Amino acid sequence: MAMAEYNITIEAHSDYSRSFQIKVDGTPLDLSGYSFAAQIREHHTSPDSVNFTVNIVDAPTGVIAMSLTDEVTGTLEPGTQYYDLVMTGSDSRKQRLLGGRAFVKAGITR
Amino acid sequence: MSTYEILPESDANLDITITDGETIVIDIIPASFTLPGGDVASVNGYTGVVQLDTDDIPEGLSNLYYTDERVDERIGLIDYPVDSVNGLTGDVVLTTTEVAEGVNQYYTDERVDTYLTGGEVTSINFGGATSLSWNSDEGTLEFPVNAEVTLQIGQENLIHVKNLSGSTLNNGAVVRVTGASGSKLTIDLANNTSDSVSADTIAVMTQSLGNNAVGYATTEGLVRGLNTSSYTEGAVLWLDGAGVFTQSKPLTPLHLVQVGYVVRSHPTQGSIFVCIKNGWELDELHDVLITGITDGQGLVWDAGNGYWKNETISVDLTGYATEAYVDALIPTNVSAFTNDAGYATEEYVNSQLSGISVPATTDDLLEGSLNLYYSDTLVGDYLTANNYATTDDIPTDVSAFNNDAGYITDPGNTFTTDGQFTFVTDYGIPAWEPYNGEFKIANYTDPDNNLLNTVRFLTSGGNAFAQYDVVDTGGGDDGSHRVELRLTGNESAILTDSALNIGSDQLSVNSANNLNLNGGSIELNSVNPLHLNSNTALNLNATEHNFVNDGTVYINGLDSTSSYVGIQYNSTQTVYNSITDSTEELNIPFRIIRKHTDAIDYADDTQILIQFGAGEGGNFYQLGQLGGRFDRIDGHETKLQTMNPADNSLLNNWTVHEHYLYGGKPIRQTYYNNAGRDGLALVQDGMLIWNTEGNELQVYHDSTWNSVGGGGGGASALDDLTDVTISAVSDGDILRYNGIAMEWQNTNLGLSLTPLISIESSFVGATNICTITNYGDYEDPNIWAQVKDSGGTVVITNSQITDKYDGTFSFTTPSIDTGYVLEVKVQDFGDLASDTATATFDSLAIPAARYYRIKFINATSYNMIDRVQLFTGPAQSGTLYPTTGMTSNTAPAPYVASAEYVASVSYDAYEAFDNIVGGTGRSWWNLGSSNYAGSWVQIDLGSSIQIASFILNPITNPSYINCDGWLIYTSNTGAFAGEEVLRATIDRIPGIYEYTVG
Repeated sequence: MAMAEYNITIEAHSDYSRSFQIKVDGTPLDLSGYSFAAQIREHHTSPDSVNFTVNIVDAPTGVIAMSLTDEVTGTLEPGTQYYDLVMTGSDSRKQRLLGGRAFVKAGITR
Repeated sequence: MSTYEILPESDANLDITITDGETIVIDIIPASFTLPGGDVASVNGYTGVVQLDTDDIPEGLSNLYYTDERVDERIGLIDYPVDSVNGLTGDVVLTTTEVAEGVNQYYTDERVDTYLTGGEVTSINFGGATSLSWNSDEGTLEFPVNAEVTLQIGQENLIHVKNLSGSTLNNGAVVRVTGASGSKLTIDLANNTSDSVSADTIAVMTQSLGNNAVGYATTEGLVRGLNTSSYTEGAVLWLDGAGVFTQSKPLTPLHLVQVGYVVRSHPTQGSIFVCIKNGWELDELHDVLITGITDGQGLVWDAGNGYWKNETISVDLTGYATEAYVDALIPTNVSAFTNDAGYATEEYVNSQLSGISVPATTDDLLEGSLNLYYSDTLVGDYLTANNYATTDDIPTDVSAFNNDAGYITDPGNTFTTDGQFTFVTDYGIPAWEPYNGEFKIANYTDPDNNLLNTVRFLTSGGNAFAQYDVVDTGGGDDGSHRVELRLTGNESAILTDSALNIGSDQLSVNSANNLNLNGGSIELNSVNPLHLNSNTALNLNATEHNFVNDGTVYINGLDSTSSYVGIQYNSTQTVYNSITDSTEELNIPFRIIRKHTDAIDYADDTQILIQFGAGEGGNFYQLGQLGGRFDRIDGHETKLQTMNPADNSLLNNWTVHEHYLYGGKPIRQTYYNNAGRDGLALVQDGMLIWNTEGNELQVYHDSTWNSVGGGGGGASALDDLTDVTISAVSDGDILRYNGIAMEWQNTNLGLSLTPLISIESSFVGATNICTITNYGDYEDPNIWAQVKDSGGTVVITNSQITDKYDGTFSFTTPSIDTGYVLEVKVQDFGDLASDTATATFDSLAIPAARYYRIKFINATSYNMIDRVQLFTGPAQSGTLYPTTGMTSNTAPAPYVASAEYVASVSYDAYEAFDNIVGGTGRSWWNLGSSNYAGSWVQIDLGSSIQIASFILNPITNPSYINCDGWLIYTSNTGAFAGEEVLRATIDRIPGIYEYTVG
């Protein structure tokens, strides 16, 4: 199994939010019983991480939202960092669903 | 702003595909990507090889476990066909205890008892054909004992017998006992020929029974199905021969056996009642002993043995009366008993008594039970019981009843002691029922030696509604008797419903106000009029005087000269014959007054007049001594009018109006047909009048009458007066006051008002109208006119002109087309004349024209014209146009009729030119036009033709003539746009329906 790779760009000191719809073979996945978590690190070995807030927006249609507040994005170091999105099933098993580079761009306005 | 980047897919076996967009789509490939939670990690907490049962599986929401409770609950919801039986469930076994009683009821002892005793049982079976049932005809229970025999219980007795006679015993055969066999009596036919075959007679067969058979015979009761047609119902039957019975009693030596009685005589359904009574032999009596009997022996009482016994008899008759001895003892006039029976019959006694010489009376006869003697008590009781009058009820002065009917019935009829017969009912006046017979009362002679009968009708309350005397006055016209009906007493005769008809006799009213007619009438059908000979008035319900307020007074009689008479008034007092109301003098529809001297009511000595008013207070006409006078508040109008008896229209009206312009002295103006004529005087300045009340001469000036002044000091003529100057007096002069000279002068007033006249030329035959333009200057104008030709000859006289009293007059234009002179004078009041005015005009020949159009003068509504004809010669001579009556608007050619309006095709324009007047010919009718005066009808003659005269006929119904006349225009173009010429004017005269012009 391999996750999907999807690079994202985060503007420091800006709110970040993205919506995802999860389907299985083209059919929206009912997210009832699932939970999601996402973190960003400078690299996969970095001890520090920043947690995305991941909410199930509409479980029957499989829509989730992954977001960071401007305060949080302001703490990120500009440059290339890494993130991934993990879904946890009702059986507590985890499965990384999405991941990739997170390009953090410096912001001016605080 | 975010920037997204999608890395190139380097792995061909990607488990997830990403689709960028507003929402990034993550599509998982399930074949290679295992979603978390996809495999079963455990089942209900169990891992490994798990075997679950329902105890391990908690109940979900939809699929529920089936518990007993739930099943019971669901079963409870099932609608089973039978939930319970009589409230019981489960395996129910019902008894009649649980089953309620329905229509089919249980048989309880009580009900069976009630059923049996309530008459509802018709039969009770005892097995086989034997059943007990009720025979309603016989009124008893019965049951069949075999196929042929039915036993009526209590009414007959049967015996069960065996036939050993050797032959069949038929139904109805009389049988006797011969012995017994097999516990049954054996029987054979009975016979009355000897004691041995009759003494044991026991019954009558009630069925046919073969030899050796067992069956039934009736010892007592009915045996049916017999031929009894030769017997009389109720007759006693006797045994007569072998098994046979008869109703003729057998005689000795045959033995008497009574069989029974005939119940029904019928050839097939006859029945007898069996009641066997065997006759006894003399020697069978217990007190008789007969032994060794021989002929001639008798029975002799043997006192020693106490019974009768037969012995030879020897009798001594000494001392017994023989027939001869008895006959000798009867009186000599009773010769002998001839009746061999030895009894004296009634006929025999009567025949013997008829010869007895002693006369017999009712005193010698006892009263029987039917023919009773008539005692006073019996007669009185009989009369009382039948309400017959007795002589006690008849007054002595009524000698006899002449009423052949002879009945005077109750209730309440009495004869009073004063010789009057009073008829009283208990129920007031009885309902009227016609009675064609006579009602007579015996004559009664009064002290005046006249026959007098008083008849009085009373109500139950004793109130007389009619009381009158019928009097024979002895003064009849035929020299014999005359009957008068006299109303007597204080009561009034009230004739409520019917008229009082007086035939040849006289109705006399002897007291005041006794005859009242409340709605009926008096019809005097004889030759006698109604005479009111006394001071008694004929009151016809008036409150005062004698007024006829309602009803009708018929005066149909003839007087002695066979002349019809009206109302004759012989009274010397005032007689009014009026119809009025209570206000009398103020509202007098009609009143005739014949007034003689009556100084009390009126100052006038004599009045003979008729007044009839208009119904409004104070206005009335009067005819009679003063003439017809209509009183108004400003004076009187005296009129005399004549009416057309055909339609009551006013023909002539003369009116003299008296003005109260001067107290007591009317100024009179005379009118004829509402036009002033020959006025007697005209009130104007200078008029001189003698005032008889003021006894002075007065002059009219400034709207008032003024005294002329002093008496003249002995003057004997007007001219002698100091303020009067008479000079060159001539006929007709009057005195006129000259204010400047302050004196009266004679003058003819110098009135000379020359009329101003206007006249135009007119076509020959047409009506020419002359207008007096200063007509209004005349106060009382009278027109005089005449027409002269050029030679001075009068061709139209004054009598040929028609004064329209509106300042115009007309005449027919002379038929010769030339010039004429019209002379006109206008007379004002009195004899004052005007100067003569003259004018000239031409009589014009009618020029040729093609179109002739007729219009109306002052039309106010629709009009109908029946016929218009045009003639080429004068006075409707020459050629008539149209030469043939038109049958349509375009036929016959070349004529064309047209009109501005037509009411309908039935009244089309050509109808005016159909040459038909009246009859079935129709007319042209301009109904539908609102411009009545302008509407027209015309004819196109096809070419220009000179017409000299016309005939015009309006319809003869005046309702369809609503104009003052007609105008005839001509045109040669047919445009009638101003080029037309008025050829003739025709004035309408009411009642005239044909007008000729030229």
